[in-house]
Amino acid sequence: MTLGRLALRNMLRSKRRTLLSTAAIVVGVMYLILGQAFVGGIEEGIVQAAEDGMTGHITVRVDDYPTTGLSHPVDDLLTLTPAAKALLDDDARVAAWVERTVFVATLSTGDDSLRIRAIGAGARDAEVFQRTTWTVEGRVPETAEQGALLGAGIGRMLGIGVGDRVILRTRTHAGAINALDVAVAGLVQTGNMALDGTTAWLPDALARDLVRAERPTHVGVRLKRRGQAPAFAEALRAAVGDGADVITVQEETAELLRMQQIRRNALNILVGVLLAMSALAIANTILMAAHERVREVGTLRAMGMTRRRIVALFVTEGAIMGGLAGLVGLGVGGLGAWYFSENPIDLGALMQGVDYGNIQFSAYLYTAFDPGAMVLPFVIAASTAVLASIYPALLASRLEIADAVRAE
Amino acid sequence: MSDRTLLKLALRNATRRPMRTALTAGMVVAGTALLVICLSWLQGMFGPMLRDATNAAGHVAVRQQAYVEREQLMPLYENLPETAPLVQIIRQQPGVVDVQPRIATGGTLTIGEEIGEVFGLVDGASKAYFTERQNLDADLVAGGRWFEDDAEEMVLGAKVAEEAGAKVGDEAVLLGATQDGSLSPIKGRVVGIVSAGSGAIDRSIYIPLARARWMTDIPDGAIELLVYGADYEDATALAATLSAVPALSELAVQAWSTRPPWSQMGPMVDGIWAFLVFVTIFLAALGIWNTMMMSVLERTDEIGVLRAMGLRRRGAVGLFVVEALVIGVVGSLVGVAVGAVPAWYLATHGIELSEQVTANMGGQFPIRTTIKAALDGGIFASAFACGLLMALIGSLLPAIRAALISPVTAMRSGR
Amino acid sequence: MAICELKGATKTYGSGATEVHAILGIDLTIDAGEFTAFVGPSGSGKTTLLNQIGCLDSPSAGSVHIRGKATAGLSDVKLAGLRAEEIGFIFQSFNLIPVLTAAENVELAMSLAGQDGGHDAALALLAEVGLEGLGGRRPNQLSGGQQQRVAIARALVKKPSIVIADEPTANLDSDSGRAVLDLMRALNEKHGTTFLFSTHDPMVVDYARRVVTLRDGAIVSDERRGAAS
Repeated sequence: MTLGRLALRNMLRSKRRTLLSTAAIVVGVMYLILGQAFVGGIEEGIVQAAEDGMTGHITVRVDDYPTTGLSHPVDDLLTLTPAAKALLDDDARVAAWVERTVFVATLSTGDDSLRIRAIGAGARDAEVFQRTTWTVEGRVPETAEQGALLGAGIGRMLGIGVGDRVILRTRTHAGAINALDVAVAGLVQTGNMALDGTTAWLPDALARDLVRAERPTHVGVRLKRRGQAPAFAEALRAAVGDGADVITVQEETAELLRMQQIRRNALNILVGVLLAMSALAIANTILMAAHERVREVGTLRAMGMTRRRIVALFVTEGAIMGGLAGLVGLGVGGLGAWYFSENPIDLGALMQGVDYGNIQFSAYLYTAFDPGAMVLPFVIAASTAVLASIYPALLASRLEIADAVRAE
Repeated sequence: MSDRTLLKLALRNATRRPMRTALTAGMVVAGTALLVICLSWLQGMFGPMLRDATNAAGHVAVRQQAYVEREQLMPLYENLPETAPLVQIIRQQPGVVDVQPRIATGGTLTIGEEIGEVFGLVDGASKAYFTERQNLDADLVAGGRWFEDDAEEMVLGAKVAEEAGAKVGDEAVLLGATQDGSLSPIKGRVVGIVSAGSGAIDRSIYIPLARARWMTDIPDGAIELLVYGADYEDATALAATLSAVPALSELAVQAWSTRPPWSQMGPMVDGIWAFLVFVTIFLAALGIWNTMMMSVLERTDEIGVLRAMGLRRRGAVGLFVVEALVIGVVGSLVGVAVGAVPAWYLATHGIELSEQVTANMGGQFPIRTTIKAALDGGIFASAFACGLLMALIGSLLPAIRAALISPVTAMRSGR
Repeated sequence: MAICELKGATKTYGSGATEVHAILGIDLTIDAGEFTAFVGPSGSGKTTLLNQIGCLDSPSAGSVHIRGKATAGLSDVKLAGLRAEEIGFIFQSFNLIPVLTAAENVELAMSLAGQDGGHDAALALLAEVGLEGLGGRRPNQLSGGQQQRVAIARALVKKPSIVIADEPTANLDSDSGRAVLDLMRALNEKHGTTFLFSTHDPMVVDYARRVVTLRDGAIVSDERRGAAS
């Protein structure tokens, strides 16, 4: 006859009450798991958007490059030192690297015009900036004659379709104005909200013809793993010398991720209060149980059960309650986290027409499903319940046995 | 039983098991405190953003229907050619405090000889629009002033100034376009620089309406008329009034809340509020339900005796509802006080956001770099009311259960 | 052989002007195998006296020895240990644990006494008190008499020196009460277990071989009967 069995039976005695007092734990654990999964998913979305969009794992660009707004000057071009080139070609960590010419252009249909970001991309661009989330209508241009690939948002705003012609006007490297009549080879839905409405991809030759530049403005690097970026960036920094900056995807997203920390803190406060509420509810329930079972406790004591075992009996009851509620919360939260990791919420459709500025962010809000992250919420829930039941358990253990056995 | 006796009995009952009552009140405390913190934070975050956004974009905006359809492209040719008579008519409408014609377009700024590449959003309107409506002169960097309406002057956002290397006193050339699309430069002296830590404000170039009209070749018109009422909350009513004006019947008259991004953001923010409030009330009500149900079961005999003595069903309900309300009032008061402490801290210290984040946010989200919680009586009052609601909802079922106790069964169950 | 000895045992509640002596200077010796009823009006001190003998409480003054061990000044854990080893209880309201079956109630007592008898031993004990086949029932599925039999089985698992029965028949009809008393008498004769009753019930007094009458915290008569009725 174990203590645990007796505690379990006691807990099941008043099912409604147990259910009510554990509701807060269920909700708290659920929030914690689902919230953490969403925050984690947003974080991953931010990093992924930077990695597949403008930064790659590592970007090399000229010194003092502007980081805010739609601003891509071509006054200074990038010169890769032979040492840097050798490192990029030979280091085993590098999966691929590509030169890019990035500039701002005015795209005009004759009636309307729009300032856009144009990316002149080399042949290996798709290996560095992965296109797994891309949906292309038409095709990705390979030669200057085929023209440009436009973000789908641009096409929508200006009413442009595949095969139409547009005028791209820009300022050249030397400071003159240049314009070209360009075909629209395709429209792309990238899965990155900030790119879809602002960016066009051109074959490298077309881009350099427009800005009259011999050299690129950026070099994008993809490594075997994202985690290698800080170490490889160190090596690359030494090789590129002065005049060029080496930025890792981690550095690029650090500020945005800091905002996520605020979200995490808010979630923690919310869950903290919910857990406090559940602690009160459980303390209350165990207290009621102690009041109700005065005679039983007296009898157990008369039969020779020590005070400590009485405390253990009630605390075990609380622990089982917290544990089961934690499990339910874990189940519901985990299921939600799993579901949304498989079926992301399409923010792109939700936020259409909103000027979300230049924050690089995935259009799909999904969760980071990580079973390991679910252990802690469960432990917290169970310990909350244990702590909450200590006081009522102590009360129960201090009854006068002689009175208690005769209590009604 | 008289109401006073009922009240007295309920009060005594609430203090009968002090620990249980305290724990139950504790749940109300936690719930109310959470509401105070969350509501003041949400208000602090969205309140100033809404105020800034509506000050800049008008409580109600009057534009060409065709402009609204292609708003993102800022098509200058879809303008209001004659604004003076429209302004006159709108000013006479009830509830209208101010009307400001405005031309918004894009342009590149040059300081000195070279053709510049620094792009900025050009905001052409009267000095009053910037200084009285938006209070932007408060964000002027030391040494500057706002432009005068009839002068060849301009004010720059800090980011634009930084990238162009402009300082107060410089002569600048702004290259924009006319409404038919040809390039159109204007000159002006930089008289001030604004730095607000907001992407929308710091990336703009502010010029007098007259200069903007000249640059865009819209001599007597504007892109939009921004109409202000006393409070941005009343914009929907104001928009309805203006829509009924015959002179405006061909035009798009929109309250801020019906324009993007707020038309999409609004329901989202409301959803967050509602969800928070609902879950909190629900959980606290469950706790109260639990305790009150215990009390009812425990006092079945007692209620039976009271009912046998002539207590009506309504009295039995009242007994428990009043007891729950006592717990609710005490819990909510304490909860408001407890929640006020962190909320006050957030309101005085706030949370710093990095400039890279705020500067990159879209123009329709004028986020400042410091977000502070907003504390006001309304928040305390609504949190308190929610606390009472928790108690009321939680006590309802147990009270009904108490009312269903028949005198006979209660007496028989007694030992 | 004296199994329990009280010398000048006194229990006092309150202090100063409100001081009340529940029992005062009681001298009493109980031998192994007794079947004794303690009688007296409410407040006469019989419950307090049995609490002292049952190690639920220790005396304010004087001494109580159970099998030679003094209870005065013992810690809570030591008292609990003494109860677990030496004393069995039977209550007026049976006091079975409602969430456990009859057999489990007995098993719980076994585990508290440090015995590993298990389920079969519990069922055997229940059979001895006449409850074959009812081990799986919860207390609320048993009649009052059956519940009291479970309580007796529970009290006997550890082969206690003393079983204290507090008004064991008060909640039973007279047939069930008689059956329960017969059972206790049989066990008393078979195992030599000492039974002490606190009672108002004349039927219990009829069964007793020794009747101790208390009034105002003192023993007023102590009558031994040679033969059972």
